[in-house]
Amino acid sequence: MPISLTHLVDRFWALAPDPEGGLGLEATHLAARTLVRAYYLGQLLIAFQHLALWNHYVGLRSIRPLWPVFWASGDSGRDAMLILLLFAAGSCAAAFFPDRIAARAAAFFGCLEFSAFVSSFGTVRHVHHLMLLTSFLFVLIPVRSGRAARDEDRRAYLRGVWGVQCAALLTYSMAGFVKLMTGAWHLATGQGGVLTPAAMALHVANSGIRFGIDAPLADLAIRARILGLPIYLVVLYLELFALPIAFRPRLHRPWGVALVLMHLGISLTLNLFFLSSLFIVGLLLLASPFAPATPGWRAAAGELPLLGRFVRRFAPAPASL
Amino acid sequence: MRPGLYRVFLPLFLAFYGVGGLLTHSRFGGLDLYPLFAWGLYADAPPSETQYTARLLAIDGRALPEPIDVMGTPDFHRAPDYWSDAGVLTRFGAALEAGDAAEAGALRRQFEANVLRDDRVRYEVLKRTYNPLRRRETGAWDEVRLGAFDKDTGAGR
Repeated sequence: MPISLTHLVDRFWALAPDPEGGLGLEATHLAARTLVRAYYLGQLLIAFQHLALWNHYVGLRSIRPLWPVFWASGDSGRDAMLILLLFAAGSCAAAFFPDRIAARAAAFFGCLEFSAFVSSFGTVRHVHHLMLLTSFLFVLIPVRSGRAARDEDRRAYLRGVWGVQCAALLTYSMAGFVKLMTGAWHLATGQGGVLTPAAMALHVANSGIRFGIDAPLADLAIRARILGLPIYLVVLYLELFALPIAFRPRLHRPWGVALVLMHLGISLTLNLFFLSSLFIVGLLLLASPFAPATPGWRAAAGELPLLGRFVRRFAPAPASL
Repeated sequence: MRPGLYRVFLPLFLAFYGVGGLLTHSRFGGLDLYPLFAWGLYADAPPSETQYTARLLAIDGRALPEPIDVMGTPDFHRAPDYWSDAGVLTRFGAALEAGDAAEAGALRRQFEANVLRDDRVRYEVLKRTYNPLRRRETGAWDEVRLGAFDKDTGAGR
């Protein structure tokens, strides 16, 4: 029997969490609106951080503009200044008026222009990709301004916020998928790779060379190289199964804690500070409006991808009276 | 976006982003289609790494008593956007090695305009290969010179 697009879309949404969450529709909707405003405040902070480097950006001269900044030239610093102001102004507008689609669109446009601009000098800056993706999807959240929100509008809004969570978690799953496939290929062809005990020590040592300075915990990570493979397998698990977590609200906060700790660990061993990623994934998961107030560790562990079935079998939740 | 449209849009967008992003990975030709991205970060751990660097030989017509290794200079790593500066130098070196004259020329212009701030600089581009753990212990690497270049903006004379 052929599978239709409608059927696939229906299956997808059937797996989505209940927009009302465990807090009730009104409280969940309120939490989601607060999350959206906090997101734009965070984007504004990131824009300000770059605005403080205006002297560096206006000094860049030779540009090969990517398509979103086709109009920019490197002859003067005027274009750089304009782009920095667009980024800050758009983020400001959305932080002040997160319910206005024009303000959210301005925030995305500023983010797109900035991200494309800084990627037009010889190397694409992947550090901004998660902010770009989430900023785009936040534009599409259905909001009817000027009217009292009806229940169906609230549910639509919550589905929009959940869509942003899905997209953010998808990027981690993609990272895990590429690591798994590449690692398996290298193992199968005898080329070493990330699924071998030396991988973490090699990454940490090379990072120190590339950055000209060791990360704070680099030495420790290299000395304790025997732990490299288990740590890498945990990271692989966290990343690979990130997207399914979007469908399991009970695991939103635990997974958020784990991903934030992962980013901190990467910073302290590899010198890679994914500031915007840490903020975005931390906010979307730790402040998830869909997460229950008290997840219950046994129930949460029972929903873990792959491992949950063992938890349910060997440590079943007590039967409710 | 209307809720009904969003209901169809979201799963299709996620599928497009996932598949499209993975197709930009180097294993599929590495077609860089901004802003798609494969998220293939630290997916490889080769025992032999490559680093491209520039060694400055003369500034403003005066030979330096000791050549300056750009990648070994603390100030280079403290630049506001070190990652971009290192990225353009790496891609410049890789294009030289691959014999891609057009790409190397474009990246040379960017490197000289945005990273080398002096008006007149003579420098050479080098490729280093090394095992990261061994280099960390012994400081040893193998080095190949990919070319020597003169930056001369004609200014300040």
